[in-house]
Amino acid sequence: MPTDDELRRELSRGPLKKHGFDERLRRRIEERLDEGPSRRPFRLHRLAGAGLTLCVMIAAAVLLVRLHPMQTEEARTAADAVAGQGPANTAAAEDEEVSMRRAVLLLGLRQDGADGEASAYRTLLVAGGPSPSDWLAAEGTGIIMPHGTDFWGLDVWEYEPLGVRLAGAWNASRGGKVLPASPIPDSDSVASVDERILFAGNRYIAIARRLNGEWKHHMMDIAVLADQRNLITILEGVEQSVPLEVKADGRVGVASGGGTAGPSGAGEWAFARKSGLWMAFGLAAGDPAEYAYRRQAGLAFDSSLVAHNALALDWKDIRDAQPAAVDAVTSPIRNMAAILTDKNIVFYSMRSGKLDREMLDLALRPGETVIMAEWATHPDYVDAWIERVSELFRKTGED
Amino acid sequence: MEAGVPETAEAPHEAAAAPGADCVGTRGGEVRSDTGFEYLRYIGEHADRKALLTELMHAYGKDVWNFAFSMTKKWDQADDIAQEVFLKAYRNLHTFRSQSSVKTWLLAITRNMVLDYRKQSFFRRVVLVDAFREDGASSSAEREVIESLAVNEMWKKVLELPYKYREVVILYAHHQLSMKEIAEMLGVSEGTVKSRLFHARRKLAEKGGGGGDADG
Repeated sequence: MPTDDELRRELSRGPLKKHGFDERLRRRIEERLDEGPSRRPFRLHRLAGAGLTLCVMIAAAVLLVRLHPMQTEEARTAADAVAGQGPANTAAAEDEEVSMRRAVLLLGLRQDGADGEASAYRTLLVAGGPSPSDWLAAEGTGIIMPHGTDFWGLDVWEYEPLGVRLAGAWNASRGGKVLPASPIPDSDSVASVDERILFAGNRYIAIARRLNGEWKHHMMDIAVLADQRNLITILEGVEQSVPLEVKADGRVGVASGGGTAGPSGAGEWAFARKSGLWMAFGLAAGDPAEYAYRRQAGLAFDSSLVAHNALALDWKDIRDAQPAAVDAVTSPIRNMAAILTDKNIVFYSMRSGKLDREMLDLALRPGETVIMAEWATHPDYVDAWIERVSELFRKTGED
Repeated sequence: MEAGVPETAEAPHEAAAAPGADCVGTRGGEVRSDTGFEYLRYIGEHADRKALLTELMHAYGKDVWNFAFSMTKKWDQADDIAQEVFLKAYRNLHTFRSQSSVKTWLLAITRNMVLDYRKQSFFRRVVLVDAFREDGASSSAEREVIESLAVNEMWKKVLELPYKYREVVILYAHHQLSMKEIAEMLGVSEGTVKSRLFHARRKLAEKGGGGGDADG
């Protein structure tokens, strides 16, 4: 029989040659720190131990919803209250709170037209909830993004007859759609400028700009887009954009030197979604190996650019649900997912980190892609987002 | 029953793991010497918990993951469990007043999580119709991982031990917990721990060239 010494010596190292607890796992934990307590390990146990009780509870819940049309709203309000900092309630109430807690998603989409035509933008406001009919809360043209305590509008305007299209931003919560007039130089000297919005998150907007027939990507501060766009600085390539850098964790974020210091960084990166994440692809020359890696693999955006840049589903699970999936997003509290194919976007509730029920299936327009996925999960914000964004879209429709 | 040291009676609540381990650690275990985290007993609610968590993950991330993997033999479950353990520890850092070491506290949380996952697994096997296909495939995948990545033959043999023997061997020989700490964590007597260690060693000796028992 092995002795104590022998056992301790042979087992002193971990079981495997490869360490499972790595930087990737550490980051996943840190990204989940703001989640509420997970009941995942216990839910199935309770199901197994009290299956009959559960059936009775489901039947009672169905009965309640049928008898009382306000039940879902009241239950959600109650759950929101529980999710705050109040004293711990019973385990049953906590389970209810977790299952009822909502996330809300502002999903921005862009559809590119034929070459030379303008792109079209729209925003979907999708809120989780127990009933599929709750899910699509609002929809409107243009992009509505949260920034600070307000919602801001983003769109691209065409300045006829110059063939100039410029992105602009405005505080939609505090006024109408008033895009600053762009100064127009002598029309004979104006080259064609075409801008498209690629990404919106935090206070940053990535745009693709075609100038003299060449597309380059630029990360812009929302303040620059909301200010008078100066066409001359754009044409000369000296408009302020946001310098980016590779952080210690291997992600790309706003350079610590400052947000709008100058044109530094413009055109050095390309931005795109890949495998459900916002990624930057390095285009600048430099260390050939590093350049090749950045160009091929891309580096994920860090939290300075977008609050939530993680996918809580395996691609195997995504493709099991939607074999033609091309993109996906999941909520920070892992209770809601959207899977995009070329033709539609399918929303699911999630349970225990897995897809649960298909709740909503919306058709996508040809070529439509995600340019924004902003989430609210705190109970204080969920209802406010639904109310305020719906109101903004209603006003837009009246304009 | 095997000859030699008899299996002693187990505490009735053993299957549910040590009480209190969810949040406040095991009680009554001897204080171990992870002095770097002694201050955890005294931190207030306004401490920089994220910084503390980073330190804990740095110090004990591998311990937690290794224990989770050793008990589940599933890489993805070890990932999930390690996440849940540190998230739970993060939420309960200010409640840590246990007499046990931080490492023992984290391992106790890990054990509870593993038991929860095992119950989930049991539920799937018993209730879901496609359980056999899933179980067979995952067992094969487990064997492949262990066969190709285990650091040595002893670990391979330990990972083939039935659950209750594997658990005590790993806590004792890899994590180097005392008999008393293991007994506290498992909610059994020290005699039971010694008995299980004895049987575990016998099974390891019997294995010699291999051949594993079913997970128990």
